[in-house]
Amino acid sequence: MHAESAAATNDLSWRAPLLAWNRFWFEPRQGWHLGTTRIAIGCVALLQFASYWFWAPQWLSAQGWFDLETGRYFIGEGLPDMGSEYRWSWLYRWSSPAAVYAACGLGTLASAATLLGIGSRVAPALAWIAMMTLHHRAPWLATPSELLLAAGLFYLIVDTGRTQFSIRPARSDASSSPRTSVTLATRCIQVHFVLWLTLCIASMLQHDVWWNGTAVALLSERGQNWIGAIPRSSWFGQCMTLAMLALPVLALVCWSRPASQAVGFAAIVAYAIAVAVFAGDLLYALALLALATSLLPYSLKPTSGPNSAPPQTP
Amino acid sequence: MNRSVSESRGQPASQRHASAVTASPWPLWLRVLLSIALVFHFAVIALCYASNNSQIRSNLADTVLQWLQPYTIPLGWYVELAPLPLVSSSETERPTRVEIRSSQGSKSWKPLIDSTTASPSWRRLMTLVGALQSHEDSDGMSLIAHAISAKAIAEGTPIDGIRFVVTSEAATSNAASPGNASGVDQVLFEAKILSAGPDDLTLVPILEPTRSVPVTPANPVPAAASATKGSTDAR
Repeated sequence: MHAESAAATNDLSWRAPLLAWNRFWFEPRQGWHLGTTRIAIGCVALLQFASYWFWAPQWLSAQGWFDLETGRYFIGEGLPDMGSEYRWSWLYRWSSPAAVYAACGLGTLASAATLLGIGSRVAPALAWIAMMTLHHRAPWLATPSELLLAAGLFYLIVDTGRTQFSIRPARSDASSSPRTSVTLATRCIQVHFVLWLTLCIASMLQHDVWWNGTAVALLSERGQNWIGAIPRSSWFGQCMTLAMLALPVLALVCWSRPASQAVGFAAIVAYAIAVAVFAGDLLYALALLALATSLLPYSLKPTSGPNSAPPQTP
Repeated sequence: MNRSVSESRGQPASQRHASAVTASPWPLWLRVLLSIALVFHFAVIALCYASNNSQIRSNLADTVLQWLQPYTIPLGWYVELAPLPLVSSSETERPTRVEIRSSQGSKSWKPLIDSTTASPSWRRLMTLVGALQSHEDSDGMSLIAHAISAKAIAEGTPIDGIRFVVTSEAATSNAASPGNASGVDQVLFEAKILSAGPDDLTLVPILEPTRSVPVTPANPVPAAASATKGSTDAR
């Protein structure tokens, strides 16, 4: 009996990582797990494309602030090993303001469809194509929100979760049945977001200003924050700098422990607020929140069992 | 991303194994292939983000990223100088202004764009100018200056000269004087504009005053100094 249980334990320990991997990536989940994230990403992508309407035609058309020849120079066109042949934006071929408006229009419509759950996988695919069209035209001008949203839209092509606007499950809805693709899309967004946060922290720690507590003051000197100039020597600025450094770390630590996942989400909400207030980048803050919805506690819990029920409204 | 260990409490170990392995309707070979693809994909993403700042990455990372270009560039994973740290003390992020001179012979420059008050796009462009300056790429700065001049002229702003001015960070880093912007100005790039209209514009970059080598027919002006619109061979 003991020998059997020991063999079973050995078998368990050998296979445990594989089983955990299998469960993590391929255990089917219901669509509502991804519905919240899809709505959040669709909403922020809609705002991003709304901002493009005021920016892209002025900048990316043939006679814009970042005109066609400048764009071609900075992707290294004609030079070896620069990868310019992989830049597939149609704005290199058609560079009139109308072509730029077309990309903005396509992205806006597709983002709205993603938000509303219309068009299944086609909607995020079109929104991603529109965003990449603008991105490849001027990759040096890419903003963090654009990079995060492009990743989110890309993974939503795998599955969009529920095909409606509501995030609550309906018993009669066939789309709420468990699907492996829902798990795959959710996990991809989660892992990508965790990688992003990790590399953001690593990137921040490369610079002195995040160590000596002057980063928030420096942001204020460069006119990026919403609360005016902050003295470099002030306690407030130094505390806020340390808080902005600590919050993503806290979020990552808390997400790795089931008992504190809600705290992890709260930490990322606080970090997003700090990004909006001190860095003045509202779209980036919203994009952080949108992808963080994939790490809401109910998305991290098992798919079966009493904890798997979606949030119910009275 | 952690799983609760109590999820299948009460089931024998063998049943738990069986339910975990067969939980997905996807065949094993597909899951294996997808697993390999996922590991590759996220390793590439991690490398791209870790190599975001090209000034400090290793030669090995550079070589691998070059191999991976057919995957990373079309899908938009490969980025350069993305502002992941939000703010840094690097030279590329110093407050930069675009200044213009409106008439021939005038010595007064007036600001067209100030990165401390401009939109995020202008701030990104000024970061790019800072990176070009650190790489001594005057051709790139000429092209940016040309595009800005042509757009400004097309919008009705008369321009005779254009320059990029950076406020020295060392002079603004006095901890006792909060938020001061009274640093020492340093001209990164300056050019005279010969224009017959926005479609026919020529930039003549001004060489640094410290130049000590005389310009003679035997020692011609470098290509960068005579960069004009359409001169792609200067790259």
